[in-house]
Amino acid sequence: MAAKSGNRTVIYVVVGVLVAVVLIAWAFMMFAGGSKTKVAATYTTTVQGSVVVAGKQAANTVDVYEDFLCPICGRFEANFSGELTQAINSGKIQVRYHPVAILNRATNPAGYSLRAANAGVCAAEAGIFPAYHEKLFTEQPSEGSAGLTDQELIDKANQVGAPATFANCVSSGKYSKAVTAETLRAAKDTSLRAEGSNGFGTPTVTVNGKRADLSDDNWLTSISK
Amino acid sequence: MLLADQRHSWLDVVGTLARLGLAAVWIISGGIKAADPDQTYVAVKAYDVLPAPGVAAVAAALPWFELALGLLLLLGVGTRLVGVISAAVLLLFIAGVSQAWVRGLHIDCGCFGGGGDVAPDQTSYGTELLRDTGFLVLAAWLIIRPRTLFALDDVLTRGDRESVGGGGS
Repeated sequence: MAAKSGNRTVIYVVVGVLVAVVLIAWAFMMFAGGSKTKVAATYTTTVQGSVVVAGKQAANTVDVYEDFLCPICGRFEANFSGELTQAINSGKIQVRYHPVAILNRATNPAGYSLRAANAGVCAAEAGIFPAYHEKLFTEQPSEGSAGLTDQELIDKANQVGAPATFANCVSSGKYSKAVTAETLRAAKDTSLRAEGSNGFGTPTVTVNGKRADLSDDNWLTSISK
Repeated sequence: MLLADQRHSWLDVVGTLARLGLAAVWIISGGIKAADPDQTYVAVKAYDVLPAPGVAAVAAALPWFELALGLLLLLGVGTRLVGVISAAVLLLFIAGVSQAWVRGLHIDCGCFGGGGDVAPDQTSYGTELLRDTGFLVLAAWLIIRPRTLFALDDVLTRGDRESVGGGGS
């Protein structure tokens, strides 16, 4: 009898600890997910080359380098897009979105990164950038997949109210050259590199020209100006 | 009698090393995952076997589950049971990596490494499987012979060393 109760204690302890750990982790996940606010964008965008400038001139400039295929960029958007939108709406920051194409080889056929980046700039030209940008990230295709076709990129834009000119902008690759040039510029810009890294990656974010540490959840809220 | 005792203590040392080794594996692996939840989310998603809510649930719980397994092993609580659970988790990992290999997915974020993804010849499925199999051997030892030194199991099941289940036999 003594043996049984001893073994039982051990089993209870092990199972109890493991179940508790999983439940606590899930509770935290729910809590973090629930505290994220969804904010509608009220700002307007302009296009400079291939850079999408969101909001009016502000005391702080935030530069965001993203590849629409990059999974961590998708996480970045899921975590911070609400806060970013709020800060742009309120005029605290102006964001310069740099859609870049560093993962062209990660789809089959290659090149989704570039076509998506081009479509992103097209969306700014069409006045639907905030909704379209968000949509491409929440419905992001996986690395190693086929990505989205031009037609799928156009369909998604139509769902958020794209004008008729959008389709031509996508299929002609109107901003592809500018995106490629911006990607090369960013890749050579050593101020965009993480400490100890000898290359450029996405997402990269700078606040007033200084690289932000995205592992710090308060990187955006701690901007003082 | 004396010979038998010495043989036992030698096996106990090997078992202790297996226990602490597997503990280190889980604590390091769980610690890395806990420190970078977004990377963990992306890694789980890259296996491409779960729907989005499942990815979120696994990515949220896995680091802490691994750390808990490591802690239980470190303390030596329920060594055999934790060995069984460790083996089950490792088999799941091996299945996940194998299916990715077979399907030709290249599991790498491609986001932080110098502006590009890992070339197909740079994936290391073989090494990963070999490594996981090595860990599985540690778990197997603890399942077959869970008796180790400095384990809390000795305290928890004191008074009966002949018991078959649990940890202290």
